[in-house]
Amino acid sequence: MNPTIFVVDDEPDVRNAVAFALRQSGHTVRTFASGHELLNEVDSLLPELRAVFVLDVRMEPMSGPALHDALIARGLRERAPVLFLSGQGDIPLVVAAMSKGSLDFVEKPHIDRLVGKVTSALAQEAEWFDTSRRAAFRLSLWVSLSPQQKRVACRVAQGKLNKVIAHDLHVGERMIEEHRRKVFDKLGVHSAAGLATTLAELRADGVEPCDEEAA
Amino acid sequence: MDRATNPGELAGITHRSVRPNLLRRGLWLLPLGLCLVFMLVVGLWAASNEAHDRQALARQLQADATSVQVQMEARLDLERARLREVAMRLSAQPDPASTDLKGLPEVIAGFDRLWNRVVWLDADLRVLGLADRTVGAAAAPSTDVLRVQGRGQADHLEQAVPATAGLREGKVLARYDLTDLLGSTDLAWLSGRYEVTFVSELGEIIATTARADRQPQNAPFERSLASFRDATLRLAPYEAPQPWFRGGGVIALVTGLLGLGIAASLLLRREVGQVQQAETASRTEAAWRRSMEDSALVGLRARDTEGRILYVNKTLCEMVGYSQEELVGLVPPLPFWPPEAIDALMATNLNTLAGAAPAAGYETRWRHRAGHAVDVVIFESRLVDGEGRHLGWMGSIVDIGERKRLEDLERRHTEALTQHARLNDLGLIASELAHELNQPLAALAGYSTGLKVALRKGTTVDDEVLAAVEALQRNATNAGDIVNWIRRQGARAEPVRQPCDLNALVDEVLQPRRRLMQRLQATVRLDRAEVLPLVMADHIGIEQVLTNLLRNAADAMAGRPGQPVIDVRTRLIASDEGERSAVELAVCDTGPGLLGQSLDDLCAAFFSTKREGMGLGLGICRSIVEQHGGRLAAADRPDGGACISFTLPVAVSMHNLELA
Repeated sequence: MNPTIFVVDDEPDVRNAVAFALRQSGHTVRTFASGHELLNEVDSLLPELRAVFVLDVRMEPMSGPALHDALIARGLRERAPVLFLSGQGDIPLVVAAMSKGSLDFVEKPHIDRLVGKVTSALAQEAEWFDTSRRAAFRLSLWVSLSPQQKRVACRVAQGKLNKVIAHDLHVGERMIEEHRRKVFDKLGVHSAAGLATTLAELRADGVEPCDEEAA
Repeated sequence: MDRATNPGELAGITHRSVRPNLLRRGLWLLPLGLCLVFMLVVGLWAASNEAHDRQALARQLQADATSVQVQMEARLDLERARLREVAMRLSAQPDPASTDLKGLPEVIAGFDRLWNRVVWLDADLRVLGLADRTVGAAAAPSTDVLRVQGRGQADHLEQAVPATAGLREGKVLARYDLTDLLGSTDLAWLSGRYEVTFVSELGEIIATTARADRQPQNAPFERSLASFRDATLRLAPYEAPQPWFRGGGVIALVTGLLGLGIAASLLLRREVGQVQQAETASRTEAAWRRSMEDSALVGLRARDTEGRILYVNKTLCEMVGYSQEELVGLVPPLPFWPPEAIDALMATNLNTLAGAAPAAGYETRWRHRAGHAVDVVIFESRLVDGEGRHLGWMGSIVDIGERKRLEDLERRHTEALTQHARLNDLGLIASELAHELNQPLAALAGYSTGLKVALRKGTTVDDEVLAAVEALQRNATNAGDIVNWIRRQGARAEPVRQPCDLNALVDEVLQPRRRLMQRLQATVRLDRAEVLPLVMADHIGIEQVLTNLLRNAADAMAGRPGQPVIDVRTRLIASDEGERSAVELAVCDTGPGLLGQSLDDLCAAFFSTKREGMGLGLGICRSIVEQHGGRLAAADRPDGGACISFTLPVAVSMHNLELA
């Protein structure tokens, strides 16, 4: 499924022109006259949403940056890239928005540049989507481990020897060897170093593999 | 001309004003001084007079003493001669014993005169005969006249009696009383002036003319008399010269004179003081007036009835570049009249001298000696002396060149300010309009980008593409309109006015698809006049005004409870006599009202507290409306909230149509 371009501008002509240009370039485009309309739609689509947002900076009553904040609050920061359409004198607002994670901006009236930037944004979205998909796969693998296997995996990743682990967990050394083999199989790694890398990736995704239960 | 070039005058003033003051200040003392000098002279004269008197008196005394001496000596000589006669007679007597000494006529005469006793002695000093004056027989005849007191001390005269046949040489003695001598001597004249006294060697008073009622006033003068062996004549004058200061009259006179002198001095002093005050006041006033005349910005010129210049002040001299000396005495035409205007100025001059100069002054142009023109206004007034005689004309001349220049400067300054304010407004407008302009331009860019892609793909022309092309065209036109409007504002050109229906304009602005309406967040209630005459208007300008009024209204109600409602009303205002009808558009809100602010306050530059670029100030709205010949007004609504309204005059042709 290709991502959708969501265009929000309170000026109908601009909104329609942007949509026209992007459609002619082959993108799927949906237009909204205000932030509230967009947020309603986003909320209904959220779990599966793949999108690039094109937001006008100056809008009443909800401005572009305010809308951006609302999207970040919905966890879309590193999932759906945001491009701003800025007018003259909006640069400070745009800079603030970019520091919060928006991807880029296009100054009105140079809408022609928008098409290229949307393409870049789509690439970014694809990368983010890929990353998130792999992270989800890693997490599903990790979740499939039994608690005892997680404990063993955490200790192996720390570089402990089998007999030390066996002593820690009050089980036999052979049992530990069995667990280690299964963990390696399930997570698709071939060494203690590979296991440690996978656990680090999980931590980067925001999951703490070696929590209290596992420790 | 200049003060600095004439130092002598200043010095002269200083000299005149200081030196005489010293003299005058002392002048009042003059009578007193003269008085004192006079008194001194009188005193000296009196003193010398007194000394002279004393000398004269002393000489008189000596003379008198000598005179007394001589008189008494003479008297005694006389008595001696009488005694010699007695001696001669006795020597002729044959018998002394029978000789009646008392019966001798010479002796009787002697007793009558002075003698008290006559004794005849022989050579052995035996008494041959003795005769006494009978008491009372020979009263001293002068004692009545001159009361002489004395102790009756006697003295005697002695005369030898020559020897005769029977007798040896004897002598005869005649005794007399000194008192008698003194009384008999004719000293009446003397005793009036002196106390005459005979004093013995022992200091006893033998005889004196002293009287109880008169005391001698001066030191006595003594002289011994050769005729008396042991007595001295003492003269004590009754009168002495009075010391000059003892005389009461003199003292009174001098004191009186002194008093008069002092009085005269005081009077003079008061008089001099008054005169000095008056003089000082007059000098101050003169200096004051002079400096006033010289420092005044107004030139002054006095002329007689024939136009001859009597006086000019320094300001006038500086105005025309001629000195006072050069100008005074001149008659028209004057040297500072421009040659080309002499005829006109002569006519004006005659007019003035005839008393017909306008009271409000008249403007004319003179020429400075250096050649440049001097624009002046002249006010002529009658010059009248203290007795009401008409002497001539006093002209006050004001150089208005400066004023003209200031006015010019002021005008240019105002223009610059206006232009500045305009640019300021334009800056505000530009900020807003740049945003406005960005919208169609962005749309243009968007549509054209899409079209380019479509053309490159070779897409068939469908409805969407056609709509895009139409939108392209519309947005291009919009952008062009905005650009033109800005250009006209910037160039200060008259806005292009077209017949315009205000109702249609309101509808256009209030279209729901407009971004404005989405922003307003308020309900707009429209109350339109059914038929409105067209107005000549620059519709972009009026649109901006309306947009701005709507935004202001929405802002005024922001944050207040209840649903915000904006009332927009159009109506026709019927013409008054001589005025064109007008169309009025009012925008009213339910906000807090004007809060006592006047329209001027509201229109003040940068009064708006709104975000940058979010609407024009009311000031620019007013200037736009006024450019159209309309008026902007602000008022409170009776039930709360504010109404901002503006009027636009009805287009002339429509107006005429209506009248017809």
